[in-house]
Amino acid sequence: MKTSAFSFSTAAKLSVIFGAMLLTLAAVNYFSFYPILQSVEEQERFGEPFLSNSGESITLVVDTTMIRALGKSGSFSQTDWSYGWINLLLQEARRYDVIDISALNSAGDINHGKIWIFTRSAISGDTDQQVKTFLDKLEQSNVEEAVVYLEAPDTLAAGNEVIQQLIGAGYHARHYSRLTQTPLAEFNLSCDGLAAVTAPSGFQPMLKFNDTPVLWQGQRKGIRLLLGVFNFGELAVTIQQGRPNDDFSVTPRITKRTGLLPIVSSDLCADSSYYMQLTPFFDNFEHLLFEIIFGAPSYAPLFAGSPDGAFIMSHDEEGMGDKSAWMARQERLWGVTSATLVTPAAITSKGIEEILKAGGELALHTDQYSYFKRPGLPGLRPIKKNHSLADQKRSLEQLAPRGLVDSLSSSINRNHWLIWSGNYTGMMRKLAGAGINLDLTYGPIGEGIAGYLFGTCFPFVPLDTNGFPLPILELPFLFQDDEDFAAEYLDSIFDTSSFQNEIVNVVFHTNTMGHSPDTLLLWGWRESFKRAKNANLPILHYSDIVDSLRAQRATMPADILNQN
Amino acid sequence: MNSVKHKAGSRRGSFLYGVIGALLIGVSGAYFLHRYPIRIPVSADAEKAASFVLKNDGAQVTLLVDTSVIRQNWAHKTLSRADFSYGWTNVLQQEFGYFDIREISAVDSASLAEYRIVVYSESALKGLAETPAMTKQLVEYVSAGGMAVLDYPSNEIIDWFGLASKKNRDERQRLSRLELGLFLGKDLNARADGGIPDSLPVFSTIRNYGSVASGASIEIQSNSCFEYFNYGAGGMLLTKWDFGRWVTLTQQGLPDENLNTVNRYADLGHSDKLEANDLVADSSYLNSVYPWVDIVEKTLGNLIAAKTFAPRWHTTPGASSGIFMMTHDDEALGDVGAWMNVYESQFGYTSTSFLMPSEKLSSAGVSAVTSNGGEVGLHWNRFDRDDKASLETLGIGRWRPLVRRRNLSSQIAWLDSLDVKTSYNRNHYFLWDKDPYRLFRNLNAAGFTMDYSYGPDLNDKGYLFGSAFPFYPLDDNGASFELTETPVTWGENFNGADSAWIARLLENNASDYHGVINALYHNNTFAWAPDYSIYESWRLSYELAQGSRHVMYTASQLEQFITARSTSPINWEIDSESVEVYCDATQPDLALIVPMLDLYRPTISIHDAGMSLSEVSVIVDSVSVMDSAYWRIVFPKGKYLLSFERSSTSREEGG
Repeated sequence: MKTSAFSFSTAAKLSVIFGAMLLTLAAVNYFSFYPILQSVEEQERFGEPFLSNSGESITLVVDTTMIRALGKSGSFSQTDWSYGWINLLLQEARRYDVIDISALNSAGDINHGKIWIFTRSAISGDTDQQVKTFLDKLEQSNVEEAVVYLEAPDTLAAGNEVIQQLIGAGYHARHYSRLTQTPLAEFNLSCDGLAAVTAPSGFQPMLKFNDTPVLWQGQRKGIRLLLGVFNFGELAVTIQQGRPNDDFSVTPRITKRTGLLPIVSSDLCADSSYYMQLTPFFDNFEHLLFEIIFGAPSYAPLFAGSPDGAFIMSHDEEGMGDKSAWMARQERLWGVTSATLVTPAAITSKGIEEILKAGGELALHTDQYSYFKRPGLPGLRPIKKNHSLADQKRSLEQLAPRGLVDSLSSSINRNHWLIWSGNYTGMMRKLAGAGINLDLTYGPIGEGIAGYLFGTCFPFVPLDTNGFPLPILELPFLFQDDEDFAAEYLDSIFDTSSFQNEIVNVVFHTNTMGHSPDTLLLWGWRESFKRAKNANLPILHYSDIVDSLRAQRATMPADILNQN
Repeated sequence: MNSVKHKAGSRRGSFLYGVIGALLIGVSGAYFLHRYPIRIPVSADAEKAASFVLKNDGAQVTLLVDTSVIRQNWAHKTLSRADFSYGWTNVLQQEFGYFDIREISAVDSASLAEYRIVVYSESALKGLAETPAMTKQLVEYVSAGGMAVLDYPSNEIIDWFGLASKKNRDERQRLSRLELGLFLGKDLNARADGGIPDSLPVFSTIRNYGSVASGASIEIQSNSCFEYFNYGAGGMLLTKWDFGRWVTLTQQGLPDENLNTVNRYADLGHSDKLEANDLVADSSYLNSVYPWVDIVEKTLGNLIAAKTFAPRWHTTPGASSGIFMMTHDDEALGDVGAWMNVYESQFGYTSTSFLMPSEKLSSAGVSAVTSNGGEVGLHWNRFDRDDKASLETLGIGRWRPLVRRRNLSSQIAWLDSLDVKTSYNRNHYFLWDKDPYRLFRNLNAAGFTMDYSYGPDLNDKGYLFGSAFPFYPLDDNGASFELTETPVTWGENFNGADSAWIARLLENNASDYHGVINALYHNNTFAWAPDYSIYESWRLSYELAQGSRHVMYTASQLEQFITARSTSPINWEIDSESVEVYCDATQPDLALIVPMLDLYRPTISIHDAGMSLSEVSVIVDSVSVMDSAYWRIVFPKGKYLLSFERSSTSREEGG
């Protein structure tokens, strides 16, 4: 009896020990199937003041001190976005100078300047006297056809007398309002602006929002003086780069709508009315604004002989590996070319070689969603860790066969799944830190979403939350084959009357026909090339953009063009 | 008291430990069982052996068999002893369509005289040799004007006719190669493709009967292998080699001596798996643009028709030149697999999709196929690897501790649950079995009527089984299954099947063979071997088929057609003035062909009460079957009498 009691007690205790061991094993096993995600350290590069003084005929004047000060606000609405102008100038003129207001009156020969754009930062606060002094000098310098643009809403709101003297007596601006209706009927813009209740003396309205003049033109001796009373910098950033919450956090609007989990680049799209815009509405606005400032539609083609722009077909590899070369192979037979963006996970040197030898471009498709390191022992890998962006870039370069490394476009990237970070520019900083100089992650995803979500198909330099440019370019694409592609899109997108100097670029995945086959997609793929040819758009690679900007000595943060 | 309390507390503690331990073990065990379910064996699929079909429908063509001889010979379960008498059913099915199958013992002189063409199979001849009365019957039948086809008769039977000398008798020669030019009678250089052989193995032995006063002969390797001679008012056609055996072993495949499938080609990376193409008798057939069995059969058919004026149902309906079947295999792609049907429906094309049970396939996916004009069959997954498509789990709710491979009945049940009722099948990967007859028995037991599992591997294309017409495979008891096998002619771009090759294949079929060209394009090719040229060739193949006057058929349409051919009576009378043909087309669009010879264009009358010829559309034109010219008459469903007046030359010769 005693023995039996002892045995039962021992057996019971042993069963607990054995059960606990078994449960531990089960837990370990469970986490091997559902590992815990550990974050990876990414190197980041931040926005920095960017100045350039090469004697160009267009000069952008900024106040880096003011921008830096406001950039500490941690608020989108408080940050100064004067650098937003560089993207208009990059697109329209390619080359221009950027000087700090502090160097204004010692900026060399004033005679070389034809067009002077004083950004919002440069004519606020204590700088108005410097502006007035400069204008006085400009008047006396006999520069012919000089143009001065003043972006001065805050100054006017404060009733700055010096600036008012420049403009002329009788002009008063009273209230500060939201402007929505633009002169271009096909889209809405939304930005802050001033409503002038009394026209500046001798000025003519050149542009209206909501039937309210927002751009006036007047003459001050030999100078054509333009007064913009809307915040163009903020407008440009809002549309092109997207609008986060005021604290720079990003809310998953589209992903919430479609039931997808991660934050994607499209969540930055400023307004749901842009979800199906098939014309480059913001580029067209920039063309208009530049024409008013410049006095002529003299934008510069990015590609010689192709004023309408270019077409780039891109394919995301999506882990399909070497088989993904099939599209490049077929395009070679068609006499066209494309860019294949690959994750260095499944593809091998053989696949890379095949794509490159088919004449295709090979760029990076960084995967921060499903490409993991799994440290541990076989059967015991409870943690997963992303491969860093820099590691992925390096891995791709190491995969390239000897002799073909230089043919890679490994500093050109699109994020798999268009994944973005919860911070407005956090992903841009990481991409720049990983040595990416052209990112292609901005684009539509989800049902009923396609086209110019960001108003543009021209590369732009994103601004960091401190208001300064980041050393990277972003080029949005127009549609993905597996995201609600419709044949009708092509009619609008390749209608050359609706755009100029656009880099029309689209995504046809290498694996869509595998998981969601549809003859429409194969038609769309081939038809896109045909439409591009009919529209006289050269069919190029993404690297051609960077090469062309470099060849044209485009003004931008130097590191962008110095990247391989 | 304290001690009692202590003991009671200790017992409670031990009990609690026990409960906790059991719970921990139970929860962990349940987790591991869910993660690593126990594999349980799958129950074997039911089998149903083929039964001997005999028909006495009043046809004027019959096959004579001796089923007891057949049974005895197959009972040895060796290839060399097996009897292939029922192999002739496929020859007659293709060449005539409407024919009887009779036990030789049940045929007396009177009933024999009712037939115009009698085929004595290997088994029938064996009984014949042992029964003088039957021999006399045969001699009398031929003397009276009948046409007898004797499959590989013995010397004794030849002697009864007294036509052959005994010199050099029994010098048999092993046949090795069948030369195409002899059969096609055409300039091979105009057809031959690089690397495609113009002769193929025949695996047979020719029998030398001595010199025969021949009316016509067809040679293989300079030996007469088919010999026709007139006898009395009739004629005899001898196959001097074991033709029924060759036809069967080429069409259905060649097992080893123990009747097992041999892993001949070990291709596709599944060296341990048997595929249907492992049954292909010789590697020369793996890349053939010539349907060898059909060619030889048609040569015989033409010869018989030329000697008897035999009218036949053409192998292709209406005024078409051939039948084109597009098929798709769904490899667990599921509902999105209907994308090909969506495209096809835009142009009025049709296809047959073989669907594999998988979690991705719902009734919506099935509906997407059928609502776009597609037909559905089973894609029987016989892989035993652990993919979701081939496994079914057993358990409660989401806890599934047991797993087993889906057998045929489980896969049929899956399709049933999606409201799919089909009797058509194709095996995934064309996987076959060591017992080459078992899968047919499985399908037979499950009620399937058509199989499409004979096809090429990645390195093959063309007529691997020598034929482009559905055939009825034999069981290992010598009887024919009542289900057809229709070989796939090409799969996507396997072995370089490009548009030019497809165009040539279709053109040749249209001009000579008039068979069923059966193409396979997977709906998931872009997932495992993406290639735009496959997509182009899929679309182009429809255009090429239409351009070469092929009619587009689904599985059920093909089944209806071959059923109609075999159930639509044809009878004919010949006299010195004319040939009269009576036929009863049980389905519309059957085409009757009659050897043109010296026959004038027929006059046609309708034998259906209440109908006149002016109410129906009848097409009369000519068609060539391997260079033999035929009148072709296409009419709607109904009974017709056709009268062909014979020319004076014909009258003098034929009498």
